[in-house]
Amino acid sequence: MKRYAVNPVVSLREESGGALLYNPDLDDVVLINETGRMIWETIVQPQTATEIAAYIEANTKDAENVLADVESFIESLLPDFVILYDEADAK
Amino acid sequence: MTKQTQNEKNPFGLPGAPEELEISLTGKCNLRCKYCFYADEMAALDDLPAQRWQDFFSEAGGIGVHRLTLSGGEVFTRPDLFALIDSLIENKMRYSILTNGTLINEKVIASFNEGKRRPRLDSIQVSIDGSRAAVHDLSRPPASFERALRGLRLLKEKGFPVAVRVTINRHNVHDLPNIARLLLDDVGLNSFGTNSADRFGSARCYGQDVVLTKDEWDFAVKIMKDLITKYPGRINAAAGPLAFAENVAEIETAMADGKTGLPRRGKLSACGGVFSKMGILHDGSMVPCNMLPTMVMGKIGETPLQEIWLLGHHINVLRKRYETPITTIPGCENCRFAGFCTGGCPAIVFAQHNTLDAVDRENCYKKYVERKNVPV
Repeated sequence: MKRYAVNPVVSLREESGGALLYNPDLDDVVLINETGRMIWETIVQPQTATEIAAYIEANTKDAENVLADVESFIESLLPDFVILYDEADAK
Repeated sequence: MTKQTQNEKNPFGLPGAPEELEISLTGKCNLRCKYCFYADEMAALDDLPAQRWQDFFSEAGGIGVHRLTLSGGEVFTRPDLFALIDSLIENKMRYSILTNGTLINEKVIASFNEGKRRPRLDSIQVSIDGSRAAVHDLSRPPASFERALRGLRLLKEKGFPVAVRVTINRHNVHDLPNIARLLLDDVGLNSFGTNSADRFGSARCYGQDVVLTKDEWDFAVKIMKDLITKYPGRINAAAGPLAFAENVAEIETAMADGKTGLPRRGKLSACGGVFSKMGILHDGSMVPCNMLPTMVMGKIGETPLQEIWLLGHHINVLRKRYETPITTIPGCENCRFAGFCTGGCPAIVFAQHNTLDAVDRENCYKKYVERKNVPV
């Protein structure tokens, strides 16, 4: 099962309406919105997309069926900002 | 704070951290350059131990500072320099170094090859102020030139992201074409930067020896214009005669087009540094800029960096200054060039007038025109 976690070299800076992620190895940045920031904070420890979606739904008003959005967001940050763990890694 | 908006906790709607910090890691230097702007601070303040810096780097990286510029004094006099570099790397930042180049040798070069020290290094800038010892060493102790040039060549040979800064002063103003030839044709740099000596630190004592006279300034402007024609795109400047020459060209082009001003000018708006950077002195004092060392806003480890960044008194005075119209400055009320003016570097203004509500009289286009007797 795929689990996602923040790339440990990446920093987060508060910005209006969200945050700026910075990978100093690549000297590259990504701007994320408040929901993206919420996702980011959930994956300090490895989480599945289902677990992340459940957290977002539980903590956001009017949020339903967010799994596809979570997967899309996470996939867009792979591999430079988010690291993918899978079952094989765990073993 | 989870959201940055313009409010009492963030009056300028800034990001939650500066993009960059300019850090003077030490007040010790193996040279005593006659124009060093940091000379007074070097003598008066004590260096912090490594642990204090390491704790601060953790704080800075934790709020998302991206890069540190390490200077001094001379950074390579710190025996724990590479431990500090490892600490900033561990705390998710990149870095640049400003150095006089004289302590760079094979051993130092080898030390950069460990871990991420090399890949996280954005640039290492060496000061070269002459094409030969007889010029370069007039501003500093004997034998400095040979050592600095050796360090520079070593960095270039090993493929480091090396940069050079030439501080234009009375000793080298007639050597500028030779310096350009040395750096661009002989050493083979892609480019180099220039500024000029100003009346800070050591130059307050040695000013008459190093700070350009009006005639020398105008001569330097002319020479630099010739050099950028000869070496297009390979000589740059954020300050000094070349920056002034580029500003003059921009103003005169705009006036030829019938304009009475340029975007973002007409106010005390020179240098946007206070919206993206801050300075830290080697005793841990947090200042808006290392060239404004008396404007202390707090000490690292005592007041949170983010609090100083967003709410520090002096840095917010400098930010508010951007809204001050040039025409409110005494002596500038009726200046027909006010719409082209930014007032000049705030640190130079403060050094000249001991207030920020003024303009840099030495870099004034109106005075330049009057001096040159140019019809406008």
